[in-house]
Amino acid sequence: MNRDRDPYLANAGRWLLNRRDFLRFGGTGLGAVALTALLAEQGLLAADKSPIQPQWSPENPSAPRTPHFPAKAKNVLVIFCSGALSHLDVWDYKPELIKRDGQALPESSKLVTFQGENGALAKPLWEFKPRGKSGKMISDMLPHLADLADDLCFIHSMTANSNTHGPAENQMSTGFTLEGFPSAGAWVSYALGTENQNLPAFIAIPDPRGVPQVGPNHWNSGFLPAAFQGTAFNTDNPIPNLRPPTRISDSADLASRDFLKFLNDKHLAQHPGDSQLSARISSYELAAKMQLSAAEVTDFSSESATTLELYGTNDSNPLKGRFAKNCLLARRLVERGVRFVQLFNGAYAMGEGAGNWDGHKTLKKQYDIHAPILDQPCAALITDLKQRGLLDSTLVAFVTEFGRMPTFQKDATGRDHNPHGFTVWITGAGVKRGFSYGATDDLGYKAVDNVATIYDLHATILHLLGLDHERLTFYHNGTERRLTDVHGEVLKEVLA
Amino acid sequence: MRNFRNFRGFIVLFVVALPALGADTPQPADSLKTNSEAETHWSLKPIAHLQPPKISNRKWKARNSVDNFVLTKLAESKLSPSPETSRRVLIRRLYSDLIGLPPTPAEVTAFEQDKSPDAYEKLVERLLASPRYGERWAQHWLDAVRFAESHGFEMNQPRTNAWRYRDYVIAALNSDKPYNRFVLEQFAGDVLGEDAATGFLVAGPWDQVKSPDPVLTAGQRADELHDMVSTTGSAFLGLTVGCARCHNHKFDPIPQTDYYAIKACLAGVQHGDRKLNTADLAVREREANQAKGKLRNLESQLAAFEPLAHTGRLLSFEPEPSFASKTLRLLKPGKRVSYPEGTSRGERDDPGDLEHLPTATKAFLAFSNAMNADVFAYQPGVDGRFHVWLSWGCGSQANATDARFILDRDGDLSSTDDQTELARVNQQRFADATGEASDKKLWSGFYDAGAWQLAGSNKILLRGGSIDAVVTAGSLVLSEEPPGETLALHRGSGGGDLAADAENESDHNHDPVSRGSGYFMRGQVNARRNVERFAAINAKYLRFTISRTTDAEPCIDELEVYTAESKPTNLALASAGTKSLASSVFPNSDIHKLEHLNDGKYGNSRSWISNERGKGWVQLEFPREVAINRVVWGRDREQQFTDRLATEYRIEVATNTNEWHLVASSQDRVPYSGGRTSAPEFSVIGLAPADAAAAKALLKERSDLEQQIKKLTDYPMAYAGVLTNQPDPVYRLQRGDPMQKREIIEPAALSAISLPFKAADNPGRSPAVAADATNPTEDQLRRLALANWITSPSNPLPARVMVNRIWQHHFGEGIVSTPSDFGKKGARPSHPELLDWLASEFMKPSVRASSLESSAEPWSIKHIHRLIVLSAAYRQSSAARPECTKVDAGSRLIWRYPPQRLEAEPLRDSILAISGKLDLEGAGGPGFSPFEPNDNYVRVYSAKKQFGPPEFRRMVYMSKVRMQQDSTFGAFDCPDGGQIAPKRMRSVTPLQALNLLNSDFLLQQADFFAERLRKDAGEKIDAQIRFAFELCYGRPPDTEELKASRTLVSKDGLPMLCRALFNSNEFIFVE
Repeated sequence: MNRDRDPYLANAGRWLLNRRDFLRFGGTGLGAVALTALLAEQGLLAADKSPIQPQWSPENPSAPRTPHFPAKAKNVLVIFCSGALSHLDVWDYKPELIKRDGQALPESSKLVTFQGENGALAKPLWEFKPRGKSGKMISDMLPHLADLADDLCFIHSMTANSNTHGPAENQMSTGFTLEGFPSAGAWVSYALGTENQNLPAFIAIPDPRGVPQVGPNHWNSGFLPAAFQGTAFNTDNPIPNLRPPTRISDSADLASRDFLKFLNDKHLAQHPGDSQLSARISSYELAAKMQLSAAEVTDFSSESATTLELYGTNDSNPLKGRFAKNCLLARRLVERGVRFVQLFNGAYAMGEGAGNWDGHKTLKKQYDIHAPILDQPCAALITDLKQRGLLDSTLVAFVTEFGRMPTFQKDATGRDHNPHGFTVWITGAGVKRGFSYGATDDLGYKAVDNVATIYDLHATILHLLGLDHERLTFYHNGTERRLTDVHGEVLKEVLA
Repeated sequence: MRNFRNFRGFIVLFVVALPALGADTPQPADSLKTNSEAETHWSLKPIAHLQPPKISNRKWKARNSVDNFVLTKLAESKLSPSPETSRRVLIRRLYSDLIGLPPTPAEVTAFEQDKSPDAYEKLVERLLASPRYGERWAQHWLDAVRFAESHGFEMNQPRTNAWRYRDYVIAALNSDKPYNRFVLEQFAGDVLGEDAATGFLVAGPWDQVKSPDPVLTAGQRADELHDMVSTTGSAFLGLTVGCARCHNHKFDPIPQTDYYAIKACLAGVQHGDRKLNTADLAVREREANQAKGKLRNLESQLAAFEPLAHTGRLLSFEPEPSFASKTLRLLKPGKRVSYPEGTSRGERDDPGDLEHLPTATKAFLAFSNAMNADVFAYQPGVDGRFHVWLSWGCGSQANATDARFILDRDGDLSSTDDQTELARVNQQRFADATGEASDKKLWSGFYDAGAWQLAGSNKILLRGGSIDAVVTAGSLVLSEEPPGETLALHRGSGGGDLAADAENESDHNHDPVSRGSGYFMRGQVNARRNVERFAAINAKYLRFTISRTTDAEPCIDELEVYTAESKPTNLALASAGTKSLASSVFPNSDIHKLEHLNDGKYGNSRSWISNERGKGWVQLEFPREVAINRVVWGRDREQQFTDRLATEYRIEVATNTNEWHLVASSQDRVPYSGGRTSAPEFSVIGLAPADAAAAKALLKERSDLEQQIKKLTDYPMAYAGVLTNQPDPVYRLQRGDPMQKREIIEPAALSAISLPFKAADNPGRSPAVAADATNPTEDQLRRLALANWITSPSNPLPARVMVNRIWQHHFGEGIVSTPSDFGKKGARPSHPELLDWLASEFMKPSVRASSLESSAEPWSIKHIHRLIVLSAAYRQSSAARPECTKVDAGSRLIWRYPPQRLEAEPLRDSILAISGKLDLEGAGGPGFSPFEPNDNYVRVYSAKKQFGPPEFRRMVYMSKVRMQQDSTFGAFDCPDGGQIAPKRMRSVTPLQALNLLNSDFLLQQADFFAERLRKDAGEKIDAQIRFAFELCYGRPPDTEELKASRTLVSKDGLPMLCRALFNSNEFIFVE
């Protein structure tokens, strides 16, 4: 093969072959993809962990690509509660903690957590009740979501590598606590492209209150090509630069773009054989389609009154109403085949604690504000996805960066950061329903049973998308980089 | 011989390539095993000094030795080179490559018409000499060293002094600073007179969020140094040293200990701003120190006028709530009046000044129809000698001018023979009888009614005046006279039954040092500096106990205790032998330590913080028992911080620790109110006029001195790292875990390249190293040794890595396509001999690249540029040839010049150049921001919608924010500054198209472009169109283009043509 004669390419480059590959596989792309799949399967049989890099081309980076092996899920929705939602007050029922309310955490006298010293153990601030057929104990803090218990798969033994919001948010979204690594959404777009060419493959929906702690690093492409970066927009702030300002008439806009096409076509005719030029021409056609699709997806006029009410888009609490619109937008994006959607609840721009789940000082007061904003719209999103059959092909992950302490902070009625144990849940394609995996200790402090890492969660998400997390790599600075670094095990028990 | 070498090279290359070749390839593994030299990875071998191969190609004229290497490789693949491109294309290519801007139509024409044989050479020299060259090429370097101007992570705050490193790189490139010197300076610029250069070390992200959690703190520091170590490896050596943090490198010969050895070289470097060592620094520092000496002197003079701290009882009575109160009684119905909002004198938020107190109360009671009537009574119920301070609501013309305050001894209002008048006051005016009466409702301030012997039964009555007017009751304060003193010195207008003695004393007692208790309330505490003066007392111990703060744990930057001598000295200093003790200390902090409390250094970074929210105490033990009379303390004398301020505190002294005497406390200070815009630090209230004048003069002098010091110490700063003299020991960390320390590792470099590791005795050192580093610190020696090791002429890596970077930015792809990884996982060179020849030319030039090159100096970057751009290989046409694309679609063998899409920076700069708005005068200095101003704790970056001249500078000067891209050009593969980006992608996406079509920036520039066309090409549409094409493409439009343009312009206007041209492929691609 031709690539044998390119020995000066890096090993990675052999598979990454940007433009060259595009040209070579342009006509026989399917053959190449089939070969990749074949290799993948063979590789699996032989326990070969050599990289299988996606056959992507810079000229058409979002073209759909086949996964390593048959997938359960086609797309992913991540719901990210920024600020670290307390697992102890909603998902992780600990009778022993209730019993020992007010006592000291054993061996805690020298314990210094993120903000300093801790006080006594504090029982959950909401009452727990059995829910659904499974009888899963969930608190009254998020009643609508609690009602969905039978559909959810809880991972109670999550652990994070950092107890600081910035690095921990980085890790949950990019696998690394450091800056500059690609987001899971960027990895998935790189691996699979997207079904709907008229919308970006990867869309982030920031909270109406602003962006989370590490802001755009959640949807960053890091060292992956910029084409795989998430596009951030929500119902308040549409895609930037989608349309020219109104002072430019539609006819002038069109005439100018027609003229551009004329110039580019003429130029291409004089430069035959240069695919970069034609790729740029088609990117303008894609842009035009995106203008229409993006406008359509944020136009809710086709939604029934029942649906709008289910989400609470017109709620008297304007923040809840605006978050509900974002939830509805998330469903519409999933419905239209957007590969990876990130929906954020909580933001940092409003200052400490005011805009997110970071309940250090007065947790009850703070969560009483945030819980109603999250609960109904988020539950409606899951219900709506389910009743439309979208959960059959969509994986939903409800995450936060770490957990909170079973104690109150010294001289406060809130909980400090706790990376040693917390809860996330997943639901949808390929996942067990009404199931709980792993556990923290009796006080909810540290994960002890089936301890899970963020790497494991990422490996599982990739697995459900038909991707082997150890073989999805990208060469950067001396290493075949992975979303899961050198760690991660698929959580097989949660798979349906 | 040559054949043999090639053969060996082939074997190595073959084996490394093996994994991708498939099973049917023969495996030459045996030959590798028997050849020990082949086991050394190619990039670690010494640079081969090769003669360029001989070539013969009659159709294609080689211009210099680069071509010999290129042509030889092409021949091996049976490919032929392309002919030289047109002059128009060549000048656009060269401009874009070297300076990142398009040539003007006049420059294109001049070059096309220049028939002299060295026309191209002249062009190359002109562009290399242009200051625009450094601006273009600095960006490539800044990408490779992850430079950005914000910290990243959660807070992502800006680094306002980071731009100096960018300016340093631009200047170094423009002056063709020898590359070895450039490297040395980036490690040891502090020794070599280039402070900003060490900005390299700290150019990476930095987590500002700190915590008392020791695990987190250790991890953060380990990450900081990891960033420095791995960038050092990738930027200069092209090796992924960072991979050896947790274990030996899996592919390259870098044991884990090497990683920690390099870490030890850099362990003295912390993130932060550093003073630039400018020429006048020493003079300025000396003058600043002199001024500081004067200031200390002045402050001890001024101290004599400071009010004494009052430790007796201080009782304050607000006129409300007056009902059902034992101490206050309403005798007649009154109306509550609040002071109005505002900061003028007597208004609610009046911050006070030198001569009057801030408003210390909220409301007064007003009584109408009060002629001669008792309207209000205060019954404090205290026994003892008290100074009486009265206040009222003033400012109104309706108020009485002769309201009376009466002391009723027996408390029975019906008997009058026991009554004494305390004061008769004009309630239209302030307490000091100033102010004009209008319709305001203001607070009077306190009126000094003198000192009185009070008993529990006494009442103080407010009685109406002689005519029917409004009388007002404000707050009343009683301050206890110090015990045992017969003297009640006051200079108020009041009398007092204890005043008789004082009358005699006061005239000759002008020495303000003995100012008595006449002044009762001191100004509120402030974050900067507080003086506590008290009567001289013998002390061996002093204790400062804090019981309340503005927020969080209390902070004191320096606690000073002055001796009661004519020339007071600060006894508290550790250097004077004083020992310190504290209730607790903020854990794991380098800047908040107990020893900082009395180290004589001011500021937050040399301070003590307790580990108890809102409280804590410190205690000093003096070397001997000494009479003291003054304590000075502050939270941050450098005025950066105002949080963590002690608002309630006590200062006690003792000669033995069983018996403490209170000498000062917060109780006699005006209650702290953070909302006040300013609070007087000093007050002359209660001073005799002569003393007040003297104090004011001193204050003026002090303020002048402070100004002077501020100016002198406003040193230019660079984000170039804070350097510690003696770095902390570096341990090998098991699995890279900072909690698992193993053996101590000494500073050194890579063991695979055996070269001397010495700061001074290295034969390759620059003479300046020896000259400048007369007395280097351990930290400096380590960094120098590492830099000398890197730049040693026997180290094959830096030259190979750098010439490859230069090649890459000319041809779009390097000879080694992994520019920061020359290790086993990196790519093999496409032209290994050429790479070595260029590296050798870089270190030891042997040829003149052009007749116009004066003489090539060692390590000259411009020499390599010349060799490349003057080659025939570089001047080839970029047209695709099917027979060649079939074999080498990526043009890696340089059978043509590979066409490239413009990167973000030259794209934006070119648009500005063509619209006529590019500001080239704005070279250097702090960058401009594409984001709206914002100062949140967690910085929010929202894109600007409006752009003006400040944003029309070159994009290299756009302040680089980590994670947040420019809203128009970021999508064009700009790196985000989180990780190194030695090579950029050139992706094509619909979002790029939308940004270039519709962004505010682009459309505004299209308007400017149209404006320029009208101005420079005249009114005729055809002329405008022609000029537009020439500006964008360097050529006039053809007939078809002209016709189509005419239609567009006449119907939809010139800006729509401009918008299309800016979006067109011919504009955006470099051919």
